[in-house]
Amino acid sequence: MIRRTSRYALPALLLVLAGLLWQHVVDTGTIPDFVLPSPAEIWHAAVVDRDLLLSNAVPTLLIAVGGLALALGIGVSLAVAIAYSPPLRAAVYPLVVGSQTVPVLALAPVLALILGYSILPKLVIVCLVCFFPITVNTVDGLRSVDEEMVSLLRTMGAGPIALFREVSLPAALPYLFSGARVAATFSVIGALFGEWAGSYSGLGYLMQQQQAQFDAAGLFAAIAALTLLGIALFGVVTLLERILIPWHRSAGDAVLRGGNE
Amino acid sequence: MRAMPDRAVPAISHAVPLLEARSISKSFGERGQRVEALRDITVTVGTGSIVSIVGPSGSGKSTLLNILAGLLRPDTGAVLIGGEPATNPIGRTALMPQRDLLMPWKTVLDNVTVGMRLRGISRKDARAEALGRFPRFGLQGFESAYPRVLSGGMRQRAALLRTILTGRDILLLDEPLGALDAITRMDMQSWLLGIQAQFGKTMLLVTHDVDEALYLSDHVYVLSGRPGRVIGEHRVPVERPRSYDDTVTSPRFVAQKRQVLQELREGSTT
Ligand SMILES: Nc1ncnc2c1ncn2[C@@H]1O[C@H](COP(=O)(O)OP(=O)(O)O)[C@@H](O)[C@H]1O
Ligand SMILES: [Mg+2]
Repeated sequence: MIRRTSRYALPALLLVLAGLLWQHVVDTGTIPDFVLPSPAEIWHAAVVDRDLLLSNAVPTLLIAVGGLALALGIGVSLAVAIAYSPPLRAAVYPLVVGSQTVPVLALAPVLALILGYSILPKLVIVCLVCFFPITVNTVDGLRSVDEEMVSLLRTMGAGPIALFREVSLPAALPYLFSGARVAATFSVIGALFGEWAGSYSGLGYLMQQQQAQFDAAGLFAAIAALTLLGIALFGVVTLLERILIPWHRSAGDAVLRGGNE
Repeated sequence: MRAMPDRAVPAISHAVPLLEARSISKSFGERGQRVEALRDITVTVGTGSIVSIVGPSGSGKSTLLNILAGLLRPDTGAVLIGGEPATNPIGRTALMPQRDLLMPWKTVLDNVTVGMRLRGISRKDARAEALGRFPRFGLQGFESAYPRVLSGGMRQRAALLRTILTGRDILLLDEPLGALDAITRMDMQSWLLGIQAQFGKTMLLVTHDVDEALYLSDHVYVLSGRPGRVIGEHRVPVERPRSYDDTVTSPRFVAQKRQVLQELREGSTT
Protein backbone atom coordinates (compact mmCIF):
# COMPACT_ATOMS: atom_id res chain seq x y z
CA MET A 1 0.00 0.00 0.00
CA ILE A 2 2.69 2.45 1.06
CA ARG A 3 4.88 1.43 -1.86
CA ARG A 4 2.01 1.80 -4.26
CA THR A 5 1.22 5.34 -3.17
CA SER A 6 4.83 6.48 -3.14
CA ARG A 7 5.30 5.12 -6.63
CA TYR A 8 3.01 7.80 -7.96
CA ALA A 9 3.39 10.39 -5.23
CA LEU A 10 7.12 10.94 -5.59
CA PRO A 11 7.22 11.68 -9.32
CA ALA A 12 4.09 13.82 -8.94
CA LEU A 13 5.72 15.81 -6.17
CA LEU A 14 8.82 16.32 -8.31
CA LEU A 15 6.64 17.51 -11.20
CA VAL A 16 4.78 19.98 -8.99
CA LEU A 17 8.04 21.36 -7.61
CA ALA A 18 9.49 21.78 -11.11
CA GLY A 19 6.24 23.48 -12.21
CA LEU A 20 6.37 25.91 -9.29
CA LEU A 21 9.99 26.77 -10.02
CA TRP A 22 9.14 27.27 -13.68
CA GLN A 23 6.19 29.53 -12.79
CA HIS A 24 8.42 31.53 -10.48
CA VAL A 25 11.16 32.00 -13.06
CA VAL A 26 8.68 33.34 -15.62
CA ASP A 27 6.70 35.46 -13.10
CA THR A 28 9.82 37.25 -11.91
CA GLY A 29 10.76 38.01 -15.54
CA THR A 30 14.02 36.07 -15.46
CA ILE A 31 12.89 34.57 -18.77
CA PRO A 32 10.41 36.60 -20.88
CA ASP A 33 7.07 34.81 -21.32
CA PHE A 34 7.08 35.00 -25.15
CA VAL A 35 10.18 32.79 -25.01
CA LEU A 36 9.04 30.49 -22.24
CA PRO A 37 5.37 30.63 -21.31
CA SER A 38 4.53 29.85 -17.71
CA PRO A 39 2.65 26.68 -16.71
CA ALA A 40 -0.42 28.81 -15.99
CA GLU A 41 -0.35 30.29 -19.50
CA ILE A 42 0.08 26.83 -21.04
CA TRP A 43 -2.88 25.53 -19.04
CA HIS A 44 -4.91 28.51 -20.20
CA ALA A 45 -3.95 27.85 -23.84
CA ALA A 46 -4.87 24.20 -23.47
CA VAL A 47 -8.30 25.07 -22.11
CA VAL A 48 -8.97 27.66 -24.82
CA ASP A 49 -7.71 25.39 -27.64
CA ARG A 50 -9.14 22.17 -26.24
CA ASP A 51 -11.34 21.41 -29.28
CA LEU A 52 -8.44 22.08 -31.62
CA LEU A 53 -6.14 19.89 -29.53
CA LEU A 54 -8.67 17.08 -29.33
CA SER A 55 -9.57 17.06 -33.01
CA ASN A 56 -5.88 17.00 -33.95
CA ALA A 57 -4.96 14.41 -31.32
CA VAL A 58 -7.29 11.88 -32.98
CA PRO A 59 -5.38 11.52 -36.29
CA THR A 60 -2.06 11.46 -34.42
CA LEU A 61 -3.32 8.72 -32.15
CA LEU A 62 -4.61 6.72 -35.12
CA ILE A 63 -1.24 6.96 -36.83
CA ALA A 64 0.61 5.97 -33.66
CA VAL A 65 -1.66 3.00 -32.96
CA GLY A 66 -1.77 1.88 -36.59
CA GLY A 67 1.98 2.13 -36.93
CA LEU A 68 2.46 0.32 -33.65
CA ALA A 69 0.19 -2.52 -34.78
CA LEU A 70 2.12 -2.78 -38.05
CA ALA A 71 5.39 -2.75 -36.14
CA LEU A 72 4.14 -5.56 -33.89
CA GLY A 73 3.24 -7.73 -36.86
CA ILE A 74 6.44 -7.05 -38.77
CA GLY A 75 8.66 -6.97 -35.68
CA VAL A 76 7.47 -10.30 -34.31
CA SER A 77 7.64 -11.99 -37.73
CA LEU A 78 11.19 -10.75 -38.18
CA ALA A 79 12.08 -11.95 -34.70
CA VAL A 80 10.77 -15.45 -35.41
CA ALA A 81 12.69 -15.55 -38.69
CA ILE A 82 15.87 -14.32 -37.02
CA ALA A 83 15.57 -16.69 -34.06
CA TYR A 84 14.81 -19.82 -36.08
CA SER A 85 16.74 -19.47 -39.33
CA PRO A 86 20.52 -19.01 -39.16
CA PRO A 87 20.74 -17.87 -42.80
CA LEU A 88 17.98 -15.33 -42.26
CA ARG A 89 19.64 -14.23 -39.03
CA ALA A 90 22.88 -13.62 -40.91
CA ALA A 91 21.09 -11.79 -43.72
CA VAL A 92 18.46 -9.81 -41.81
CA TYR A 93 19.87 -8.94 -38.41
CA PRO A 94 22.51 -6.48 -39.69
CA LEU A 95 19.84 -4.79 -41.81
CA VAL A 96 17.51 -4.53 -38.85
CA VAL A 97 20.23 -2.83 -36.83
CA GLY A 98 21.23 -0.71 -39.84
CA SER A 99 17.65 0.48 -40.29
CA GLN A 100 17.95 2.27 -36.97
CA THR A 101 20.76 4.47 -38.23
CA VAL A 102 18.51 5.89 -40.95
CA PRO A 103 17.81 9.48 -39.91
CA VAL A 104 14.04 9.40 -39.54
CA LEU A 105 13.81 13.18 -39.42
CA ALA A 106 15.36 13.34 -42.89
CA LEU A 107 13.46 10.37 -44.19
CA ALA A 108 10.03 11.79 -43.32
CA PRO A 109 9.93 14.55 -45.97
CA VAL A 110 11.27 12.14 -48.61
CA LEU A 111 8.50 9.68 -47.84
CA ALA A 112 5.93 12.47 -47.88
CA LEU A 113 7.23 13.43 -51.32
CA ILE A 114 6.96 9.87 -52.64
CA LEU A 115 3.77 8.74 -50.89
CA GLY A 116 1.96 12.07 -50.66
CA TYR A 117 0.16 13.66 -47.71
CA SER A 118 -1.73 10.45 -46.96
CA ILE A 119 -1.53 8.36 -43.78
CA LEU A 120 0.84 5.94 -45.50
CA PRO A 121 4.21 7.74 -45.09
CA LYS A 122 3.39 8.38 -41.43
CA LEU A 123 2.64 4.72 -40.80
CA VAL A 124 5.96 3.82 -42.40
CA ILE A 125 7.82 6.23 -40.13
CA VAL A 126 6.10 4.98 -36.97
CA CYS A 127 6.71 1.40 -38.00
CA LEU A 128 10.38 2.12 -38.66
CA VAL A 129 10.98 3.57 -35.19
CA CYS A 130 8.78 0.98 -33.42
CA PHE A 131 9.65 -2.41 -34.85
CA PHE A 132 13.24 -2.36 -33.61
CA PRO A 133 12.70 -2.66 -29.83
CA ILE A 134 10.01 -5.26 -30.50
CA THR A 135 12.22 -7.37 -32.75
CA VAL A 136 15.32 -7.19 -30.61
CA ASN A 137 13.47 -8.06 -27.41
CA THR A 138 11.45 -10.86 -28.98
CA VAL A 139 14.60 -12.41 -30.45
CA ASP A 140 16.14 -12.35 -26.97
CA GLY A 141 12.99 -13.94 -25.58
CA LEU A 142 12.90 -16.70 -28.16
CA ARG A 143 16.55 -17.43 -27.49
CA SER A 144 16.06 -17.48 -23.73
CA VAL A 145 14.04 -20.67 -23.99
CA ASP A 146 15.02 -23.35 -21.49
CA GLU A 147 16.49 -26.16 -23.60
CA GLU A 148 15.78 -28.72 -20.91
CA MET A 149 12.12 -27.78 -20.99
CA VAL A 150 12.16 -28.29 -24.73
CA SER A 151 13.79 -31.71 -24.25
CA LEU A 152 11.22 -32.71 -21.68
CA LEU A 153 8.33 -31.85 -23.98
CA ARG A 154 10.03 -33.74 -26.79
CA THR A 155 9.93 -36.88 -24.63
CA MET A 156 6.18 -36.27 -24.38
CA GLY A 157 5.87 -36.23 -28.16
CA ALA A 158 5.93 -32.49 -28.90
CA GLY A 159 6.93 -31.52 -32.45
CA PRO A 160 8.32 -28.15 -33.57
CA ILE A 161 4.93 -26.45 -33.74
CA ALA A 162 3.80 -27.70 -30.35
CA LEU A 163 7.16 -26.65 -28.88
CA PHE A 164 6.74 -23.15 -30.27
CA ARG A 165 3.20 -22.88 -28.95
CA GLU A 166 3.84 -24.42 -25.54
CA VAL A 167 7.31 -23.12 -24.72
CA SER A 168 8.96 -20.61 -27.04
CA LEU A 169 6.05 -18.26 -27.50
CA PRO A 170 5.01 -18.00 -23.84
CA ALA A 171 8.65 -17.67 -22.79
CA ALA A 172 9.12 -14.81 -25.28
CA LEU A 173 5.93 -12.91 -24.44
CA PRO A 174 7.29 -10.94 -21.46
CA TYR A 175 10.23 -9.86 -23.63
CA LEU A 176 7.89 -8.97 -26.48
CA PHE A 177 5.87 -6.80 -24.16
CA SER A 178 8.81 -4.90 -22.78
CA GLY A 179 9.77 -4.16 -26.38
CA ALA A 180 6.21 -3.10 -27.12
CA ARG A 181 6.15 -0.72 -24.14
CA VAL A 182 9.23 1.08 -25.43
CA ALA A 183 7.74 1.06 -28.93
CA ALA A 184 4.50 2.59 -27.61
CA THR A 185 6.34 5.69 -26.42
CA PHE A 186 8.33 5.89 -29.67
CA SER A 187 5.16 5.62 -31.74
CA VAL A 188 3.88 9.08 -30.78
CA ILE A 189 7.21 10.68 -31.64
CA GLY A 190 7.21 8.82 -34.96
CA ALA A 191 3.70 10.07 -35.71
CA LEU A 192 4.80 13.63 -34.95
CA PHE A 193 7.77 13.38 -37.34
CA GLY A 194 5.48 12.02 -40.03
CA GLU A 195 2.97 14.81 -39.63
CA TRP A 196 5.62 17.46 -39.44
CA ALA A 197 6.92 16.40 -42.85
CA GLY A 198 3.59 16.97 -44.52
CA SER A 199 -0.02 16.74 -43.43
CA TYR A 200 -3.27 18.66 -43.13
CA SER A 201 -4.15 17.43 -39.66
CA GLY A 202 -2.72 16.04 -36.46
CA LEU A 203 -0.78 17.52 -33.58
CA GLY A 204 2.31 17.82 -35.78
CA TYR A 205 0.35 19.91 -38.26
CA LEU A 206 -1.14 22.00 -35.46
CA MET A 207 2.29 22.69 -34.02
CA GLN A 208 3.52 23.94 -37.37
CA GLN A 209 0.62 26.41 -37.44
CA GLN A 210 1.32 27.50 -33.89
CA GLN A 211 5.00 27.92 -34.65
CA ALA A 212 4.19 30.16 -37.59
CA GLN A 213 2.06 32.29 -35.26
CA PHE A 214 4.68 32.41 -32.48
CA ASP A 215 2.09 30.79 -30.22
CA ALA A 216 4.54 29.46 -27.61
CA ALA A 217 1.87 28.58 -25.04
CA GLY A 218 -0.12 26.69 -27.69
CA LEU A 219 3.00 24.78 -28.71
CA PHE A 220 3.60 23.72 -25.15
CA ALA A 221 -0.03 22.66 -24.81
CA ALA A 222 0.39 20.47 -27.91
CA ILE A 223 3.56 18.98 -26.47
CA ALA A 224 1.67 18.18 -23.29
CA ALA A 225 -1.03 16.50 -25.35
CA LEU A 226 1.61 14.40 -27.15
CA THR A 227 3.10 13.41 -23.82
CA LEU A 228 -0.29 12.33 -22.55
CA LEU A 229 -0.83 10.26 -25.69
CA GLY A 230 2.50 8.51 -25.14
CA ILE A 231 1.70 7.78 -21.51
CA ALA A 232 -1.75 6.50 -22.44
CA LEU A 233 -0.35 4.12 -25.07
CA PHE A 234 2.26 2.90 -22.62
CA GLY A 235 -0.53 2.28 -20.13
CA VAL A 236 -2.63 0.37 -22.64
CA VAL A 237 0.29 -1.92 -23.52
CA THR A 238 0.99 -2.51 -19.83
CA LEU A 239 -2.67 -3.33 -19.26
CA LEU A 240 -2.69 -5.75 -22.20
CA GLU A 241 0.39 -7.38 -20.73
CA ARG A 242 -1.35 -7.89 -17.40
CA ILE A 243 -4.34 -9.45 -19.11
CA LEU A 244 -2.50 -11.60 -21.63
CA ILE A 245 0.30 -12.90 -19.45
CA PRO A 246 -1.15 -13.07 -15.95
CA TRP A 247 1.60 -15.41 -14.76
CA HIS A 248 4.10 -12.61 -15.25
CA ARG A 249 2.89 -10.69 -12.23
CA SER A 250 3.83 -10.15 -8.64
CA ALA A 251 3.71 -13.20 -6.42
CA GLY A 252 0.94 -11.58 -4.35
CA ASP A 253 -1.44 -11.53 -7.29
CA ALA A 254 -0.71 -15.14 -8.06
CA VAL A 255 -1.45 -16.24 -4.51
CA LEU A 256 -4.83 -14.53 -4.63
CA ARG A 257 -5.67 -16.14 -7.95
CA GLY A 258 -4.60 -19.57 -6.75
CA GLY A 259 -6.65 -19.33 -3.57
CA ASN A 260 -9.84 -18.02 -5.12
CA GLU A 261 -10.44 -20.15 -8.15
CA MET B 1 -0.12 -59.55 -2.76
CA ARG B 2 3.48 -58.70 -3.54
CA ALA B 3 4.79 -59.75 -0.19
CA MET B 4 6.87 -62.77 -1.23
CA PRO B 5 10.32 -62.16 0.19
CA ASP B 6 12.15 -63.58 -2.80
CA ARG B 7 9.90 -62.16 -5.44
CA ALA B 8 12.63 -59.99 -6.88
CA VAL B 9 14.90 -62.91 -7.70
CA PRO B 10 12.73 -64.83 -10.16
CA ALA B 11 11.06 -61.69 -11.48
CA ILE B 12 14.29 -60.06 -12.46
CA SER B 13 16.51 -62.96 -13.43
CA HIS B 14 14.10 -65.07 -15.49
CA ALA B 15 11.71 -62.63 -17.14
CA VAL B 16 12.82 -60.30 -19.91
CA PRO B 17 13.58 -56.96 -18.27
CA LEU B 18 11.20 -54.20 -19.33
CA LEU B 19 14.06 -51.74 -19.67
CA GLU B 20 17.73 -52.38 -20.21
CA ALA B 21 20.75 -50.23 -20.76
CA ARG B 22 23.29 -52.53 -22.38
CA SER B 23 27.00 -51.69 -22.37
CA ILE B 24 26.41 -47.98 -22.77
CA SER B 25 29.32 -45.56 -23.09
CA LYS B 26 29.09 -41.84 -23.66
CA SER B 27 31.58 -39.00 -23.96
CA PHE B 28 31.00 -35.29 -24.44
CA GLY B 29 32.97 -32.64 -26.24
CA GLU B 30 35.54 -32.50 -28.99
CA ARG B 31 38.81 -34.34 -29.12
CA GLY B 32 41.36 -32.76 -26.84
CA GLN B 33 38.88 -31.69 -24.17
CA ARG B 34 36.81 -34.83 -24.20
CA VAL B 35 34.82 -35.69 -21.07
CA GLU B 36 34.08 -39.37 -20.64
CA ALA B 37 30.76 -39.49 -18.78
CA LEU B 38 29.76 -43.16 -18.88
CA ARG B 39 31.80 -46.30 -19.49
CA ASP B 40 30.21 -49.63 -20.34
CA ILE B 41 27.08 -49.29 -18.20
CA THR B 42 24.63 -52.16 -18.03
CA VAL B 43 21.47 -51.73 -16.00
CA THR B 44 18.29 -53.81 -16.13
CA VAL B 45 14.88 -52.92 -14.77
CA GLY B 46 12.22 -55.62 -14.37
CA THR B 47 8.54 -54.95 -14.96
CA GLY B 48 6.92 -53.32 -11.97
CA SER B 49 10.13 -52.97 -10.01
CA ILE B 50 11.94 -49.98 -8.61
CA VAL B 51 15.60 -49.75 -9.44
CA SER B 52 17.91 -47.05 -8.11
CA ILE B 53 21.17 -45.69 -9.34
CA VAL B 54 23.39 -44.09 -6.74
CA GLY B 55 26.60 -42.33 -7.57
CA PRO B 56 28.55 -39.21 -6.77
CA SER B 57 27.75 -35.96 -8.52
CA GLY B 58 29.15 -35.99 -12.05
CA SER B 59 29.08 -39.77 -12.37
CA GLY B 60 26.78 -39.54 -15.38
CA LYS B 61 23.45 -40.45 -13.76
CA SER B 62 21.49 -37.73 -15.55
CA THR B 63 23.31 -38.57 -18.77
CA LEU B 64 22.22 -42.19 -18.47
CA LEU B 65 18.58 -41.21 -17.94
CA ASN B 66 18.73 -38.85 -20.91
CA ILE B 67 20.07 -41.69 -23.04
CA LEU B 68 17.31 -44.03 -21.85
CA ALA B 69 14.74 -41.31 -22.56
CA GLY B 70 16.07 -40.96 -26.09
CA LEU B 71 17.32 -37.38 -25.68
CA LEU B 72 20.96 -38.39 -26.13
CA ARG B 73 22.52 -41.10 -28.26
CA PRO B 74 25.05 -43.39 -26.64
CA ASP B 75 28.45 -43.68 -28.33
CA THR B 76 28.29 -47.43 -27.94
CA GLY B 77 25.76 -49.82 -26.48
CA ALA B 78 22.00 -49.97 -26.78
CA VAL B 79 18.72 -49.23 -25.04
CA LEU B 80 16.35 -52.18 -24.95
CA ILE B 81 12.67 -51.89 -24.16
CA GLY B 82 10.77 -55.13 -23.61
CA GLY B 83 13.87 -56.97 -24.82
CA GLU B 84 13.88 -55.21 -28.20
CA PRO B 85 16.60 -52.73 -29.14
CA ALA B 86 15.06 -49.27 -29.35
CA THR B 87 17.04 -47.19 -31.81
CA ASN B 88 14.93 -44.12 -31.10
CA PRO B 89 13.45 -44.57 -27.64
CA ILE B 90 12.11 -41.02 -27.35
CA GLY B 91 8.52 -41.07 -26.14
CA ARG B 92 8.71 -44.68 -24.94
CA THR B 93 9.40 -43.69 -21.34
CA ALA B 94 8.40 -40.80 -19.10
CA LEU B 95 11.23 -38.64 -17.81
CA MET B 96 11.12 -36.55 -14.67
CA PRO B 97 14.18 -34.32 -14.96
CA GLN B 98 16.31 -33.21 -12.05
CA ARG B 99 14.81 -29.71 -12.19
CA ASP B 100 11.03 -29.85 -12.02
CA LEU B 101 10.70 -27.68 -15.17
CA LEU B 102 7.12 -26.70 -14.43
CA MET B 103 6.14 -24.07 -16.95
CA PRO B 104 5.65 -20.74 -15.16
CA TRP B 105 3.04 -19.67 -17.73
CA LYS B 106 0.75 -22.63 -17.14
CA THR B 107 -1.45 -23.31 -14.15
CA VAL B 108 -0.70 -26.43 -12.13
CA LEU B 109 -3.58 -28.21 -13.86
CA ASP B 110 -2.32 -27.27 -17.32
CA ASN B 111 1.22 -28.23 -16.34
CA VAL B 112 0.34 -31.73 -15.19
CA THR B 113 -1.87 -32.41 -18.23
CA VAL B 114 0.64 -31.25 -20.82
CA GLY B 115 1.71 -34.81 -21.64
CA MET B 116 -1.88 -35.97 -22.10
CA ARG B 117 -2.67 -32.99 -24.31
CA LEU B 118 0.38 -33.76 -26.45
CA ARG B 119 -0.89 -37.34 -26.78
CA GLY B 120 -4.04 -35.89 -28.34
CA ILE B 121 -6.35 -36.31 -25.36
CA SER B 122 -8.99 -33.58 -25.23
CA ARG B 123 -8.61 -30.79 -22.73
CA LYS B 124 -11.79 -31.85 -21.00
CA ASP B 125 -10.82 -35.51 -20.57
CA ALA B 126 -7.26 -34.64 -19.57
CA ARG B 127 -8.50 -32.24 -16.90
CA ALA B 128 -11.07 -34.69 -15.59
CA GLU B 129 -8.48 -37.42 -15.18
CA ALA B 130 -5.90 -35.09 -13.63
CA LEU B 131 -8.35 -33.49 -11.20
CA GLY B 132 -9.16 -36.90 -9.77
CA ARG B 133 -5.48 -37.29 -8.86
CA PHE B 134 -5.01 -33.93 -7.17
CA PRO B 135 -5.92 -35.01 -3.61
CA ARG B 136 -3.59 -38.03 -3.69
CA PHE B 137 -0.79 -35.73 -4.79
CA GLY B 138 -1.57 -33.10 -2.17
CA LEU B 139 -2.34 -30.48 -4.79
CA GLN B 140 -6.03 -29.86 -4.30
CA GLY B 141 -6.92 -26.19 -4.10
CA PHE B 142 -3.98 -25.32 -6.36
CA GLU B 143 -5.48 -26.40 -9.67
CA SER B 144 -5.49 -22.91 -11.15
CA ALA B 145 -2.50 -21.57 -9.25
CA TYR B 146 0.74 -20.84 -11.06
CA PRO B 147 3.73 -22.99 -10.08
CA ARG B 148 5.55 -20.10 -8.43
CA VAL B 149 3.24 -20.25 -5.41
CA LEU B 150 3.93 -23.95 -4.77
CA SER B 151 6.29 -25.18 -2.07
CA GLY B 152 9.26 -27.34 -3.04
CA GLY B 153 7.44 -30.53 -2.11
CA MET B 154 4.34 -29.54 -4.06
CA ARG B 155 6.41 -28.71 -7.11
CA GLN B 156 8.00 -32.15 -6.98
CA ARG B 157 4.63 -33.84 -6.60
CA ALA B 158 3.22 -31.82 -9.49
CA ALA B 159 6.20 -32.83 -11.62
CA LEU B 160 5.67 -36.46 -10.65
CA LEU B 161 1.96 -36.27 -11.44
CA ARG B 162 2.83 -34.80 -14.84
CA THR B 163 5.23 -37.71 -15.38
CA ILE B 164 2.66 -40.34 -14.39
CA LEU B 165 -0.08 -38.74 -16.50
CA THR B 166 2.03 -39.16 -19.63
CA GLY B 167 0.65 -42.70 -19.47
CA ARG B 168 3.99 -44.46 -20.04
CA ASP B 169 4.76 -47.64 -18.11
CA ILE B 170 8.38 -46.78 -17.42
CA LEU B 171 9.24 -43.75 -15.30
CA LEU B 172 12.77 -42.35 -15.30
CA LEU B 173 13.07 -40.18 -12.21
CA ASP B 174 16.16 -37.99 -11.83
CA GLU B 175 16.60 -37.20 -8.13
CA PRO B 176 12.84 -36.86 -7.71
CA LEU B 177 13.13 -35.89 -4.05
CA GLY B 178 16.44 -34.10 -4.37
CA ALA B 179 15.25 -30.61 -3.58
CA LEU B 180 13.51 -31.50 -0.33
CA ASP B 181 14.51 -31.18 3.30
CA ALA B 182 15.07 -34.37 5.30
CA ILE B 183 11.66 -34.62 6.99
CA THR B 184 9.62 -33.90 3.86
CA ARG B 185 11.90 -36.28 2.07
CA MET B 186 11.18 -39.22 4.38
CA ASP B 187 7.44 -38.66 4.09
CA MET B 188 7.73 -38.37 0.33
CA GLN B 189 9.70 -41.61 0.07
CA SER B 190 6.90 -43.59 1.67
CA TRP B 191 4.39 -41.67 -0.39
CA LEU B 192 6.33 -42.47 -3.55
CA LEU B 193 6.25 -46.18 -2.71
CA GLY B 194 2.49 -45.95 -2.33
CA ILE B 195 2.18 -44.19 -5.68
CA GLN B 196 4.29 -46.84 -7.37
CA ALA B 197 2.14 -49.62 -5.94
CA GLN B 198 -1.08 -47.80 -6.88
CA PHE B 199 -0.12 -47.08 -10.47
CA GLY B 200 1.94 -50.23 -11.05
CA LYS B 201 4.69 -48.31 -12.78
CA THR B 202 8.21 -49.47 -13.42
CA MET B 203 10.66 -46.97 -12.00
CA LEU B 204 14.30 -46.28 -12.57
CA LEU B 205 15.34 -43.57 -10.18
CA VAL B 206 18.52 -41.68 -9.61
CA THR B 207 19.59 -40.47 -6.21
CA HIS B 208 22.72 -39.69 -4.27
CA ASP B 209 21.08 -40.70 -1.00
CA VAL B 210 21.99 -44.29 -0.07
CA ASP B 211 19.14 -44.64 2.49
CA GLU B 212 16.66 -43.53 -0.09
CA ALA B 213 17.97 -45.94 -2.70
CA LEU B 214 17.91 -48.93 -0.37
CA TYR B 215 14.55 -48.06 1.14
CA LEU B 216 12.75 -47.53 -2.15
CA SER B 217 14.30 -50.11 -4.42
CA ASP B 218 14.29 -53.74 -5.36
CA HIS B 219 17.68 -53.28 -6.89
CA VAL B 220 20.45 -50.70 -6.46
CA TYR B 221 23.30 -49.97 -8.83
CA VAL B 222 26.32 -48.07 -7.55
CA LEU B 223 28.21 -45.88 -10.00
CA SER B 224 31.81 -44.75 -9.67
CA GLY B 225 32.97 -41.18 -10.08
CA ARG B 226 33.64 -39.96 -13.62
CA PRO B 227 33.61 -41.82 -15.88
CA GLY B 228 30.61 -43.59 -14.40
CA ARG B 229 30.99 -47.38 -14.22
CA VAL B 230 28.87 -49.88 -12.33
CA ILE B 231 30.94 -50.78 -9.27
CA GLY B 232 28.24 -52.39 -7.18
CA GLU B 233 24.90 -54.12 -7.58
CA HIS B 234 22.57 -54.93 -4.72
CA ARG B 235 19.31 -56.75 -4.47
CA VAL B 236 17.17 -55.50 -1.60
CA PRO B 237 15.07 -58.47 -0.50
CA VAL B 238 12.68 -56.61 1.78
CA GLU B 239 9.02 -57.39 1.35
CA ARG B 240 6.47 -54.73 0.58
CA PRO B 241 4.81 -52.74 1.91
CA ARG B 242 7.87 -51.48 3.68
CA SER B 243 7.73 -49.43 6.86
CA TYR B 244 10.40 -46.79 6.87
CA ASP B 245 11.54 -47.14 10.46
CA ASP B 246 11.59 -50.96 10.41
CA THR B 247 13.41 -51.08 7.13
CA VAL B 248 16.17 -48.60 7.77
CA THR B 249 16.97 -50.02 11.20
CA SER B 250 17.05 -53.68 10.20
CA PRO B 251 20.53 -55.27 10.46
CA ARG B 252 20.37 -56.37 6.84
CA PHE B 253 19.69 -52.79 5.70
CA VAL B 254 22.48 -51.39 7.83
CA ALA B 255 24.96 -53.95 6.52
CA GLN B 256 23.97 -53.21 2.94
CA LYS B 257 24.23 -49.50 3.52
CA ARG B 258 27.73 -49.88 4.91
CA GLN B 259 28.73 -51.85 1.83
CA VAL B 260 27.28 -49.29 -0.59
CA LEU B 261 28.94 -46.42 1.23
CA GLN B 262 32.26 -48.23 1.08
CA GLU B 263 31.85 -48.80 -2.65
CA LEU B 264 31.02 -45.16 -3.18
CA ARG B 265 34.07 -44.08 -1.21
CA GLU B 266 36.39 -46.40 -3.11
CA GLY B 267 34.75 -45.59 -6.44
CA SER B 268 35.26 -41.88 -6.09
CA THR B 269 39.01 -42.12 -5.43
CA THR B 270 39.93 -44.30 -8.40
N1 LIG C 1 25.68 -31.83 -22.69
C1 LIG C 1 26.88 -32.01 -22.09
N2 LIG C 1 27.99 -31.51 -22.67
C2 LIG C 1 29.20 -31.69 -22.09
N3 LIG C 1 29.40 -32.34 -20.93
C3 LIG C 1 28.33 -32.84 -20.31
C4 LIG C 1 27.02 -32.70 -20.86
N4 LIG C 1 26.15 -33.31 -20.01
C5 LIG C 1 26.89 -33.80 -18.99
N5 LIG C 1 28.19 -33.53 -19.17
C6 LIG C 1 29.29 -33.95 -18.29
O1 LIG C 1 29.16 -35.32 -18.05
C7 LIG C 1 29.42 -35.63 -16.70
C8 LIG C 1 28.23 -36.33 -16.07
O2 LIG C 1 27.15 -35.40 -15.90
P1 LIG C 1 25.75 -35.80 -15.32
O3 LIG C 1 25.17 -36.89 -16.14
O4 LIG C 1 24.94 -34.58 -15.20
O5 LIG C 1 26.14 -36.35 -13.88
P2 LIG C 1 25.23 -36.56 -12.58
O6 LIG C 1 23.80 -36.46 -12.99
O7 LIG C 1 25.60 -37.92 -12.10
O8 LIG C 1 25.63 -35.53 -11.60
C9 LIG C 1 29.76 -34.31 -16.01
O9 LIG C 1 31.15 -34.19 -15.94
C10 LIG C 1 29.19 -33.28 -16.94
O10 LIG C 1 29.96 -32.10 -16.89
MG1 LIG D 1 22.29 -35.23 -12.35
